[in-house]
Amino acid sequence: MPLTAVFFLKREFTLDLCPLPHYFLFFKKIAFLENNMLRRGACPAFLPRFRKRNHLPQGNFLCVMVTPYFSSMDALFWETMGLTFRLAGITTACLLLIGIPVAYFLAYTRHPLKPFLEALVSLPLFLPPTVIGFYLLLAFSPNSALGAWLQEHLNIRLVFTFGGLVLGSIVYSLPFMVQPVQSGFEHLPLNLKEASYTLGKSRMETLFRVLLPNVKASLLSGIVLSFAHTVGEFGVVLMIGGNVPGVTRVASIAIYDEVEALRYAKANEYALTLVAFTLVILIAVYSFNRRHHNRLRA
Amino acid sequence: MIQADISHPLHTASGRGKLELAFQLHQGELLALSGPSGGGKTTLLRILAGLLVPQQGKIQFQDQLWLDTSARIRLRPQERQVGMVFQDYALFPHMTVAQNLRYALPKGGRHTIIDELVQTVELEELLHRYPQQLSGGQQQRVALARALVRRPSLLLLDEPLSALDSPMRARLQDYILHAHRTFELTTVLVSHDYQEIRKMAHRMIRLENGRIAEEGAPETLLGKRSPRTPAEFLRFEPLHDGRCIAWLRLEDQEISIPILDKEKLHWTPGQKVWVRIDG
Repeated sequence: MPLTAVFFLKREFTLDLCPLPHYFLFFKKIAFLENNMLRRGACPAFLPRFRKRNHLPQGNFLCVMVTPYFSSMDALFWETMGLTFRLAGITTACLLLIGIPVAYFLAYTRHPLKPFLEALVSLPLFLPPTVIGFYLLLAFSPNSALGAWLQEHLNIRLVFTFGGLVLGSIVYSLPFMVQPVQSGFEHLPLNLKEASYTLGKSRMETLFRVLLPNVKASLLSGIVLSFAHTVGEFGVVLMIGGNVPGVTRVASIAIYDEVEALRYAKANEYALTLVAFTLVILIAVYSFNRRHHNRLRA
Repeated sequence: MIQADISHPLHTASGRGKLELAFQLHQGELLALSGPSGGGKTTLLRILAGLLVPQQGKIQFQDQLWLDTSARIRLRPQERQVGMVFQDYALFPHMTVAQNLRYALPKGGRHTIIDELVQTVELEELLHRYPQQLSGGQQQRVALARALVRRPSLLLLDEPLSALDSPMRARLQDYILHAHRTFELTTVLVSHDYQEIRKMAHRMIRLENGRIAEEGAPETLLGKRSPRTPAEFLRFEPLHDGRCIAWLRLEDQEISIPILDKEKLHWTPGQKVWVRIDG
């Protein structure tokens, strides 16, 4: 066994910048060395001992990759990630409750105020997030009338708290839920709804049993878009949430924070996790949509 | 018995008009509505179904007041005993035929009505298919059955057969007539097809620009069906737009009739064909 090769291998293992592809190559190299040894007549039972003696990790890439990669992440990482996904989950759930009625109303109303409402819902799409964050900060701050009233009467503080973050995210991600669902409703033939009415079914029953099942794809894209958008939001959170670990520090803020402090490896952990997560979700959505379309076309 | 008196603005291709009419409908009657498009036929059906509230109007159904705009009474479609078959069927695409029918069943309704309807319109084979997997005629049968599951008193048919070819039309006309009798319905049928109206309707109303232009029995309005007379086919004469004219000799006279698709007619010159000349 060439000792220099093992020496370089061990040195590579301690580098932690962009660890995932790195580990993959690392295990490739170990496997290459071991194969060479087996070909030269080494006993297979000897291989674990070879790894132990040279302080190389046991096991293969898949099972070993997870441990060092995540063990290097501390409690703060998990706290931040958990908070990010909890915020996105709660926001998406609230948006489902709020967005479907709003989308239903906007899709079917002939009210003269409809353009005004549509503009209001879409506003967060076109404004810099900091603008929304700024006004929410003003509104919720204990110095404002609303903030003071909430604090006094309901004992609710929305600035720099998780609750405020959820509220801000709901406002900010509302168009991402409303617009796909509304367009889904609008593209359904009107007579599906009318047929259901003439069959004696109430509006509620029609909504849940006829309309919503037929806009499943729009609903799914609404859910995914609002979730992903909340995970990715930065400006609103920074304005009204700040950077309180465990309370309002979400992944996007953490990345910015770590980069500011020149801890690139740490920032990379957050960033890479978000990339992987988003990619998986998007692939799942697109494959669902393809199957859905194929079924409708069949 | 239904008494309706309706006034509602119409927006047609030819500009603004007004739907203004009063009519009666007897129990068990099959009324045909015909007339040029934009005349207010579909609007009238939607008002009867409760899907559209007219500007002014009153609809009395037996001893129940469905609509009285002056008294601000307007029963919703759910509260009226109507069944409606839409022009494009409006089957729910995410449900199978059986689920479509079951959806229409009122709470506590008995499932036997579905079985009965499935037999009446011969859907046994199709129960587990989705609407997309059915032909136009099959979808039409499902739509008819679904509209009847609720046991409506008034059946509204909005050009139900306009998208079907003629043998299928004839069969579906029989299904509708059969259902009309079996379930003791009062039926309003929108149709452009005079043959269909003659075959099915007891009475017809021709709507033009929102007003009743003619009303009466189909035989008196459309004339009796004249008997078939033999004629001799002479030749086809192609037109510019792909259609053609067939020239026939009928008792010493040469007459021409427009033909949509001559490939379907295997006529040879000199062949005897039957023609019927309607008024």
